[in-house]
Amino acid sequence: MYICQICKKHPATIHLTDIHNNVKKEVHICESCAAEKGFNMQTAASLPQLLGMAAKKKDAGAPKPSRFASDEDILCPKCGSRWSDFKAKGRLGCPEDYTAFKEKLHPLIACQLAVVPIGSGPLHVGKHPGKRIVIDSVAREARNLELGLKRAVSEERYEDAARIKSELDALKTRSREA
Amino acid sequence: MKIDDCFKNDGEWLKGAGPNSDIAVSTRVRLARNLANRRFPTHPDHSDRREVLDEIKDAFDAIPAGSSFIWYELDGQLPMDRRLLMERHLISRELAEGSGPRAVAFDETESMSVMVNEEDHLRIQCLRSGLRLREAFDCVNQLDDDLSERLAFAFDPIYGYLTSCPTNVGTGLRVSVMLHLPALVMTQHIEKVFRAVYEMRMTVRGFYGEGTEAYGELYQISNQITCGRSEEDILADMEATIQSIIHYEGKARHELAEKGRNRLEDRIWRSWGTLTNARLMSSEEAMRHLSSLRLGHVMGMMDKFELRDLQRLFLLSQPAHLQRMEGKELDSDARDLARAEFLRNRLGPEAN
Ligand SMILES: [Zn+2]
Ligand SMILES: [Zn+2]
Repeated sequence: MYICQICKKHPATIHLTDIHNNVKKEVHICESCAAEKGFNMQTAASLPQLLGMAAKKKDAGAPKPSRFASDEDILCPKCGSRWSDFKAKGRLGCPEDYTAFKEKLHPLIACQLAVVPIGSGPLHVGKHPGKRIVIDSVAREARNLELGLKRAVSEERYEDAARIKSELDALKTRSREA
Repeated sequence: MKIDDCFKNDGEWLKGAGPNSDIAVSTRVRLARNLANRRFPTHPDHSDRREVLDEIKDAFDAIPAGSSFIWYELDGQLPMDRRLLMERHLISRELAEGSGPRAVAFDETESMSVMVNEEDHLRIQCLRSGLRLREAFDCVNQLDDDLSERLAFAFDPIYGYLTSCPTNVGTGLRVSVMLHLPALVMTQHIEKVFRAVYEMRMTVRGFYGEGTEAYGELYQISNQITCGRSEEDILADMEATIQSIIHYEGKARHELAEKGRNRLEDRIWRSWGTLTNARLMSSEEAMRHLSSLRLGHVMGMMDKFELRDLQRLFLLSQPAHLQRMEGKELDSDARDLARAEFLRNRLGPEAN
């Protein structure tokens, strides 16, 4: 996973490569920045243009972080890879990195969903090793409602949250009675 | 083992069969898995990759389904043979062009394949023709169950299955459907579709996956979210998105047939003319014209071949397959010459 080079906030999901004079350059940007720049698949803007945009955005935005205030590096004790390696390559070193880099990695994973802070329970739903999955429509519906509830709370839509909560309760009562 | 001996049949995905096959060319479902307590294959220290490979091979040998798989190690093979596997969609470009101990296991129908030591230790995938998400998922899910009895997978209760790239964490499930969308391209609605796809948190890619261009108006739509949604939900979302794109492409085709019939027929028959007469043909140009023929065929405007034979031409006109048929390495110019001749022979008047 790369972090968007324009906003430096979201995970980059659009990857562009350009080979010019035998030099390979890569640009990684997120969808919202891509949309903002009017980027589309058919007429992909040229790489220099995009890099130009990235540079401009950086200058116009928040003051450049000072060299000293830059985030300190973290090391995975198990495999020796560093957070800075991940930032450069977009790939982790070993499963243990998820624990070692938790503070920085968690927001990147969670921002795909509703905003879920560390400590608010599992993000993963679905299969576990050794447990075969059975398709259970009640559980699925409950899970969807739970997700909706979390999102509504995090977005401070309390009326929606109350409505979803009562739906969820009703569903739970129904499945207990069944 | 010679690579040619592996390919007994055409890949199942080439059949041009299955639900919605007029628009949905193929469905691919894959699970990313890693062994616990091992470095990911992307770690710069490669010293345990051989052990990982052997451990996985042992697991394959031990499970009942294992005997139906061909195990093929890629290290030390010719680049052309590796490219052949890539063109058949059995391995990714990354695995083809990588280095070090790595392998692919695939079944005779070329519908199941497992990449070993790509970006993750295991990429279990199933490729089927047409739109068949559940079927393809059931296949990978079953193999995952079998392998998980022999291998300890890296799993975390918070994040799910742990992967080398956090964009795969959680279910490790990536579902892709290859769609043929010429009418949306022609009616210039394709960008609207892309925007809607992005809004659904899905991505669009070209013919060979990540970082490749969309040749022949073939687009691969995949889910982006792998964590926080169950396998069931991911499949349901994908099904709904794909069905709606299929609906729009169908509508656009209908519209073209009603209002732009001359333009449409002109395009299809021009492509026919080019394919049956050209003396030089790049792979990109071939894909473009074969795309027209596919459209013409499924819309009942052209009745000169079976869909499955046409689909084979998409594959056989790719560089590695072309060189395999010619039995020698060819540079790009020689390939364009050979490709044009091959397509003339298959489609032209002397074809039947
Ligand atoms: Zn961004
Ligand atoms: Zn590590």
